[in-house]
Order: sequence, then structure tokens, then C-alpha cells
Amino acid sequence: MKKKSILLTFVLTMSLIFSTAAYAASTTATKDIPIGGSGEMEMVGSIEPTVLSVTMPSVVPFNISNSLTTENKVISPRIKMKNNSSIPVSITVSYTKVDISKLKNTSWCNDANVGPNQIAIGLEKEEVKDEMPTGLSNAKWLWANQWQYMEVLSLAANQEDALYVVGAMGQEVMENTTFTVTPTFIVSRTY
Amino acid sequence: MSGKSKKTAAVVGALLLLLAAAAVYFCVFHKYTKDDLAYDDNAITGILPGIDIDERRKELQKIVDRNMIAFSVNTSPVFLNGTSKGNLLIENPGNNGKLLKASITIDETKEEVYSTKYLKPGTYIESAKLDKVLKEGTYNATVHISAYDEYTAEYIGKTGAQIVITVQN
Repeated sequence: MKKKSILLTFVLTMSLIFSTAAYAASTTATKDIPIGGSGEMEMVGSIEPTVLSVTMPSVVPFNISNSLTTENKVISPRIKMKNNSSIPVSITVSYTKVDISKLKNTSWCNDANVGPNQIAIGLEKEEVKDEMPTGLSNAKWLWANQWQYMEVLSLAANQEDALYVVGAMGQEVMENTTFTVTPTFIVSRTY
Repeated sequence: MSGKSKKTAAVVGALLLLLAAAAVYFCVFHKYTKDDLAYDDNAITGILPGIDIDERRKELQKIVDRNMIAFSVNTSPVFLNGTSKGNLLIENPGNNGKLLKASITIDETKEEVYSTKYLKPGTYIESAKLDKVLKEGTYNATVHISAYDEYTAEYIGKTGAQIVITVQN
């Protein structure tokens, strides 16, 4: 009888311990709020890291000359942009540093309508692979030395695409001088 | 001071002056010749008549391809509070062939809140504390990635990515 009593006490004690543990585990997972009552429920969430992985140019060289017979006066390399991530991204130009101080009597123009002493540089999405644009109808023009945030390209997950530099220049712009145009490309996640 | 000592002091002083002058001359001279900046006045910028446009494009293409930057970054880093580490996950991939430096600025204030030293190819920052303490909230920010030559550390160019920083408490 005494043995049975000890055994019963042991079993009861153990079941109490396990039930407490189970209850404790369940209270961390949910909390009930009675209907019609009031209460605060702590929302515990997490922000999963979304890693964006891209390959973009840091230098964009080009030649510009009125000797080109096309509307676009720029010889441009193919400027590849590659999205190595599993999320879509967009590429914007946030700022373009321009130094045309060596071009005497020349000013910058924000579109293709250049005056005789003006120069304009922009970017255009590739329409036909490895073919430089000859026209300027789809150009997106760079603003000199100011914040712009202009989208120039959208890339789906793991997609590659390309841009070209395009430009226009007035007939009186000197061609025997160098100048620099440095756009900063910024990639951002699109939703 | 004896006459001999005065004479010695004068000679030493003159020598020191000569050395200083030589040092100044070297610095100025060195500055102008270091980067071989003696451009020829006779050179004309532009496309040589008769040059094939495709050939010129190939030359430009080589420059672009050599200066591509690959990088990875977490677009949504989270910090438990303003002084804790957050999961920045900034990577300079092994095939990059360039040194990278990253700096984070808050878009609204243009304040720099974090910057790295050089990251060698094949390395990454998993988590780090910001250099400035941010209050609880979310912040639109830009990570600017600057690239440098792997051997000379000469600046090449920069690019960047937009991120949203979350400070939870």
C-alpha cells in the first residue's frame, strides 16, 4: 500500500512537471484575446534579408563628334547591367557629375534640343543587341550636377540588359577638348 | 660662442636650407611628373577620320568591361536598436578583381551613418554596428559602393543600391 502510494505520488509529480512545460511552450506561441474584451498582443515578426546582387559599370567612356552622320553623335560601348538576384530590380541614375569647363563657351542642355553652343548626353536602352542607337527618340537625358533619380532600366530576376550613351551637340561646340560625364547608377529592389 | 662655432653653425644652417629647398623642389617636380600629365598640345580629341567606328567601340568596350563592379547587399537590414549590430550582408565577390568600399547615407538627410574600409575580393561584411546611432524607425538609405584597383588602390568609380534600414527599438 505504501509502495502504491509512493508510485502514485511520483506519477502525479511527473505529469504535473510535463503539463507545465507543455503549457509554457504553448503560451509563447499564441495569446488568446477574449472576444469583446480588450488586451494587447505582442506581434513578434522578422524581416527576412533580401540580398540584392548585381554587376554594373563604374566607368562609362564614350566619344562624341559632329562628324557622325546620325542624329546620335555618340560612339558608345554596350553598357551591360546584370541582375544576379532572384528579385526584380530597377536601375536609376541618381546624380551625374559633369565637368565641361574645358569646353569654352559651351553649356549643358537637359534634352536633345541643343543650341549651337550646347551639349547633351543621355542614356538609351538597347533595342537591338549590339547595335548603337542612331536616333534620340528614346533617350533619357542626364542632368548636370544635380540629383535626378531617373530610372533607366528594369531587370527581372537573373536578367541581363544593356544601355548605350547617346548625345547631341551644337555645331559650334569645340571638338578638340575633353570633358567628363560621370553618372552614378543606383540599383533598387522593385515590388 | 667662439668664431669657429659660429662658422660651423652657419655652414650647418646653410646645408639645412639647401636640403629643405631640394625637398620642396622634389615634391613640386614629382607632383607634375608622377602621373605623366604632359598632354601633347598637338593632340586632337575626337575620332580620327577614316577610323572604323566598330574599332573605336571595341576599345571603349574594353574599358567598360574592365571596370564593371559586382556586389551584393541586404536591401532590408535590421538593427535591434541604435547601437546593436545589423545584418548588412555587403559582399565583394571573389571574381570582382577590385577593392570595394561601402558607405551608407540616409536619403532624407544625406548623413553618412556607416562606412567600411577596403573589402578585398572574396570577402564580405555579415553584420556591423552603424557609426551613428539611429532612433527606432525605418530609413530609406543608399549604399554607395566605390571600386579601387586591387593592386594600386587607385579609384575607379562608384555605383550603389537603395536599402531600407529598420531599427526596431
